[in-house]
Amino acid sequence: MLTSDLLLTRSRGPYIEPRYIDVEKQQYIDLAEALIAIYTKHQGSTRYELQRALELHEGHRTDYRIQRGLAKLLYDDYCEFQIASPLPPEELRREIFTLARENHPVVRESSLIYPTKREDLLDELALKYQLSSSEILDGLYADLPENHQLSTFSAPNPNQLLLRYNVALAQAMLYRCEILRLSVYRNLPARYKQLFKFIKFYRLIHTIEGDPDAGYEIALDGPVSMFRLSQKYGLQMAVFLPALLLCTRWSMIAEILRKDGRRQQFVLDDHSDLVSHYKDQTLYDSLLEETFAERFAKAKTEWQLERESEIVNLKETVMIPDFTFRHPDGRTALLEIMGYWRPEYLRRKLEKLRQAQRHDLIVAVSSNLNVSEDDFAELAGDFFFFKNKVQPKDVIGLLDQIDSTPT
Amino acid sequence: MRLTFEEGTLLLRDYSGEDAPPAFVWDSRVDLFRALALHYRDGLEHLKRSGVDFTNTAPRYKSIALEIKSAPDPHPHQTQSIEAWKTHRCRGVVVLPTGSGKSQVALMAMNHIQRSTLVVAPTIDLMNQWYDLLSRTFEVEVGLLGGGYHELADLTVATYDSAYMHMERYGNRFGLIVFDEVHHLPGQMYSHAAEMCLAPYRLGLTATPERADGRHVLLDTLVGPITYERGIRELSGEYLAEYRIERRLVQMVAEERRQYETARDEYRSFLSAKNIRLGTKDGWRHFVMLSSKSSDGRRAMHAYRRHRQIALGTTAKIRILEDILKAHPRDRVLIFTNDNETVHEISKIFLIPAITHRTRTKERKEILEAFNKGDYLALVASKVLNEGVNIPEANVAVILSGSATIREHVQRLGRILRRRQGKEAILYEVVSKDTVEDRISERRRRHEAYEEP
Repeated sequence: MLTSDLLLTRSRGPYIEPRYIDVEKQQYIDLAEALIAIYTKHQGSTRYELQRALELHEGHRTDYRIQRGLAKLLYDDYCEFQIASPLPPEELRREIFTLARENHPVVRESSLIYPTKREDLLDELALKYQLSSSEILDGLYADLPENHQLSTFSAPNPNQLLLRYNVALAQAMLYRCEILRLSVYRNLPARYKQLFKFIKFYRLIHTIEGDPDAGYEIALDGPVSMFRLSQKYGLQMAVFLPALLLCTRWSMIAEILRKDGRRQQFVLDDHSDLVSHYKDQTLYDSLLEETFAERFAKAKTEWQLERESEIVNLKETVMIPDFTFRHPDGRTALLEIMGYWRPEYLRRKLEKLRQAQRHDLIVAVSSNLNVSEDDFAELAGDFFFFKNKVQPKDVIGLLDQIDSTPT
Repeated sequence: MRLTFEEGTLLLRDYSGEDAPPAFVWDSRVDLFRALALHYRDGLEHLKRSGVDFTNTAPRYKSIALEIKSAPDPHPHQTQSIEAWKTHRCRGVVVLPTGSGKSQVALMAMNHIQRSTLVVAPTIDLMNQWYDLLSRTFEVEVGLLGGGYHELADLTVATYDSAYMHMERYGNRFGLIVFDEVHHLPGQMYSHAAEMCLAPYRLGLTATPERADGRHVLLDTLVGPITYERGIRELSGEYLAEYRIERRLVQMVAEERRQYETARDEYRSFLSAKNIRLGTKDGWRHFVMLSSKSSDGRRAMHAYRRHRQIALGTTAKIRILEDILKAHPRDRVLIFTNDNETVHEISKIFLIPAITHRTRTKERKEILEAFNKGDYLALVASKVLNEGVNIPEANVAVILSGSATIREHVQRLGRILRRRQGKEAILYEVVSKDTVEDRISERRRRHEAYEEP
């Protein structure tokens, strides 16, 4: 990710946005290629030499921030460094400083009072280790980061780098974000699950309003945000952003606090050209659900199966059922399939199902799971056990029993 | 009802009452009452008074049997400051000059409270220093949070950065929290470290509580009021060693003078063409802005940087340094310079050990011990040693180049102000004649610590 000083922005009234680069523009493709070439050429050189070469290439260019940004991404994500020295630097230091202590103070020109000069000491060690005295001096601080050697560089292609750069700009914008407002609309359950998995993982707190038809408004901040708006969670929001990019239909408003105290908004939606580098999960959570969806499509019923999911807000967490059903007469229902789960996950899932208190939520439970009917006693809706496959007719039977009174 | 600690805040779970204790606010995001962990002590007292039946699972700190195994007898000002702190319910800030044994005050506080304690320090080097001090004093396992370490123990030392980052996870693990150099705490971000921690007992230490941005007033809530204060002059001579300042002016060598002037002329002609005056705050901002807009501007900014660099690290200074080292062959000489590059250059020229913020814990400890024992007689360091690092044997300090911040120099002085029988400390200030640095030094002299007694 980029440091804040490498972020370039553009303000328009109440809005602020990063200065994205046009990844098709020859000027940037050339720059990316040039930087990748410098890194490739400096395999085996020290970090300092690499840095010098980058500075030299930078010259007096005014777009140096773009170059530094690209270089930083190469540096962080595509490089490996190592210590290269004939002698362990720490031991060498101890030896040389102790030797110098015996001849303290070390002088550069010998005299009557100080007959030993520094070259004599260096030569003494060089002789002992069969090295030159300049090798001794170079080895003295070979463990310092700037003296580390670039051992491996896995070059990306220029386009990958430029795409990554634009995402990194948007991420850096969020470092100063106090609250992130998302609108998401008719996404697949796997996408929602993925989104909330990241929200939870980055310890952000959500507020949800809306319904599957109108879409959902989700506000993200952290525990202390209610006492004072804080940029404490900005970094968490930044690492969360690529997960949002994986959603299909969404928009986002980030409230940005600028250094001068002004507040501006950074807006982004699914029309942006940003490409996530996070891995997208498959469309279906499991084969079990995929087969069910296929079989249901062939079944004779007026109920329509929708993959776009509803979000059931349980305040401190959410439940995202696998399927939503819609009847032409306006009735809707939800289905959750409990397939093969570990005990701990199963326990949490049961707790969520109880909390949800939804009359229109049907649960299909695998008979392979170590649960009994008693575990589902407190459920507001219906449930049934299945053996290997979830039969559409079992679900349709329960769907037809659902009355039209809203839950 | 349950009082719990979650992510740097306190939550009331299964609470049916209408009114929550003060500082608790309804959080509609989760449908629970929530407060900053900072308000733990007051909230708990309120709940107890109100007679509600509740379990308290928030704190996870322990009572521990701490015993001071080795420490010098406290000075009167140390005893007085800890007594004053106790009368303020063990929450407050103690203001003492560097070198007067502030850390000793913290040890006495820990010994009094006898609970898991976190010490927060501004730099990795200071964190290491506390680590050494706590292990030596109490002979217990000490944890570290920061500088690549992530280990918690009954006594733990953290940097402000790490405390800020991790307090939401560990804010309930300590009964006492000590903020060293507490003037760092009230910043926008670092203040979270105090807010997200529930420690009922809090101690702040500093020589200079004031902040230019005025946010030091927040210390009252975050830590507690100033409970004790003594200035450097009130203690000098009595508990601190006497010191003398020697100023050495160096003339740049001809080649450097030429480069310096070329660079200076280059950026100045740019500034005068653009009608910018650097003395003003807007002038500097204007310059920075222009430097990213045209390549002439970039060139001028590079020239500006170069002219400052030449002024700060001249080869003539190396000659002066050699003379100083020759003049003190039996003394313990501590050399400060501004940037790491010069530190390593000096280390390579005079073959003396160096310490920067990147020096690893073990080697740093070894070097400092060897220096205090006399196995090394000279040591070169960057600003990493600015605040409160314990080098009792140093009696000559050389400031080879420095920045204008007054605080930095008082603290550097503190390094050689530690009292030893019959010891007179000398501070050499080596500056280039007639350069930017010369003027910085003039400004520096106006500060109290440099006034003649």
